[in-house]
Amino acid sequence: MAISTTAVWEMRNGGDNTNGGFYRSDAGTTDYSQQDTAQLSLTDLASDGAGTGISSATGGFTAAMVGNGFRIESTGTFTAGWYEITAYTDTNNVTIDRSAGATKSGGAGKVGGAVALPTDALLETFSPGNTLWVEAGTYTFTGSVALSKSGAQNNHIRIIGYNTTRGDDPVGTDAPLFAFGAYSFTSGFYWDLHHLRATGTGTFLFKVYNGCIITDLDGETTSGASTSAPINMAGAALLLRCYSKSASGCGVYATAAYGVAQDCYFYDSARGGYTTQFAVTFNSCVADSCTTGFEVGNVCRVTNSTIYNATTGIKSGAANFGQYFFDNIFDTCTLGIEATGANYRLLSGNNFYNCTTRVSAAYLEEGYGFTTDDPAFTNAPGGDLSTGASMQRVHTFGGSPSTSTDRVGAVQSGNGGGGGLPSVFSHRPH
Amino acid sequence: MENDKYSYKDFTDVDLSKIDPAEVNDSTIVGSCFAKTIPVDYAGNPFGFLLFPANVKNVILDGCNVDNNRLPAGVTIVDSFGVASTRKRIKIEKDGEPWLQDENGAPVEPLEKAQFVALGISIDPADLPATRRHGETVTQEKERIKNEEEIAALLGGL
Repeated sequence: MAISTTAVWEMRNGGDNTNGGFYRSDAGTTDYSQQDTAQLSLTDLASDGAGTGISSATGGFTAAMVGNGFRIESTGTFTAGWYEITAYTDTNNVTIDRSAGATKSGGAGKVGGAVALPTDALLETFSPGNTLWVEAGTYTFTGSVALSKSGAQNNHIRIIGYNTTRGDDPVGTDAPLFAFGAYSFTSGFYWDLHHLRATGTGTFLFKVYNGCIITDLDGETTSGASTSAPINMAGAALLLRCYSKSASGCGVYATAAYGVAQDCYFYDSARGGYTTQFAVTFNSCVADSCTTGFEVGNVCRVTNSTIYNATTGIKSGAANFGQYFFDNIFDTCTLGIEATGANYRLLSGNNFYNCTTRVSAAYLEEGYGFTTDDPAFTNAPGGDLSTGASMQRVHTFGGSPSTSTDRVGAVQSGNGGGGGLPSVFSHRPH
Repeated sequence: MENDKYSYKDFTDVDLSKIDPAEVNDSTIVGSCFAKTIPVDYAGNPFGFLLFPANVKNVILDGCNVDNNRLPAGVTIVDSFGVASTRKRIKIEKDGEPWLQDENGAPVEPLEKAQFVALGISIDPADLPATRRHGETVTQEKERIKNEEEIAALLGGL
């Protein structure tokens, strides 16, 4: 057995990692996880011969506790961990989901109460489908998380920040903050992270793998490493509406192929998005005041994105081929697109405004349908790169105008892409 | 008494060495991050030498991160709510990875030692590269292993 896939965990300042921490959402009993302190705390636990029957002479168990988390410590040589109460016998006896050690005595444990910090030991306990809700506050890491546990393709494990009510989708300073220091979070497969902020000093804060979905994450690392980044895509992950900075490094660094960054906002970094890998996509992203907006590998795509105030908008190495740079805005760039070798690259529909040089002339032409209009950003120095009507386009494929318009550059959206919400800008260091 | 002003806050790379000691005296600070990017006594660091002024007294840090700081005599570290505090000296070495340092600033072992061991990378400081490497050793080793596995899978399919 393991903890149920429908377990819902609660983390908050004031919680305790010796608390039970979760409640099975379909248990039909009482949820004791959404409180700072445990509902029941015992120091005289004993186990039966199977290790799943737990008794206490003091007692205090109730039928309402079925489905709640039961943290048992190593005292009395129990196997420390988070367990689920699966059955109630009487005030002195319950059954848990798996053995905590057979025929033990003198144990200590707590039922209910929120946890305090997402430690490696805690998160390795999760089952696919589990959700950890994180209340607004600051969570200080005192060690790294490097998970061997994965979710499942149709049953992701989710960590979701909230401000005052679960599901209120905070951004900016309303979201909970993970203060990593030198430590980091390395996921397994299919871990999702939503509505979080993060600071740290390491080369990465989050390293995410295949099937991970990261949304509305706001991160900054102060590491001096050139490949440092708040988010390291080490697999085919999806980043959506993320907002990140590494002054000496990258907004995002993809160290594996097939990752996608959509509606993200990279700022004040040496590189906005960086990869030497294959087929990474940056769509509807902003690189604001990055030395290089995007530096990408073979068959990578930078589309419908906005690069503002860069030395080089997009950089393509000598050996790189098959790249697609469509419908981007290059504004106030010394060089729009840099190529250092004569390999195949496809450019179309890009807008170059106020750029000293549009493309590396020896290897590139500006491409089909390029323009040089003023994007009329709403407030570029303030970071709002929403565009004016000049960036609306009518396509004429096959000689007939399309009935729909599309837009060049990044589209205004939630936490960053093409601008962002005022609450995001409010803490921006410009 | 829990110190509301300094508990559950992020003070990464913030210089608190010149605050009024009365702000922290006789209080417990819970769950805050005081980490510095580089050790405070490392050449060129822009921060104060001590975490707090030298004359603070009866300050308890509970579940806090004080890596790369020096603590005044009046500060005590404790662990509670199931989470350990951390007080290490850490610096990114020329392999791009964070290493624990001794008091003289010499590397001792990788911060993430288990990852090095699992990947078969040397944890001997003598094996650190002489010049700064582009990228990080652990990341690059994982990439290399993954690429080899993919190539082997492709060759196996031929």
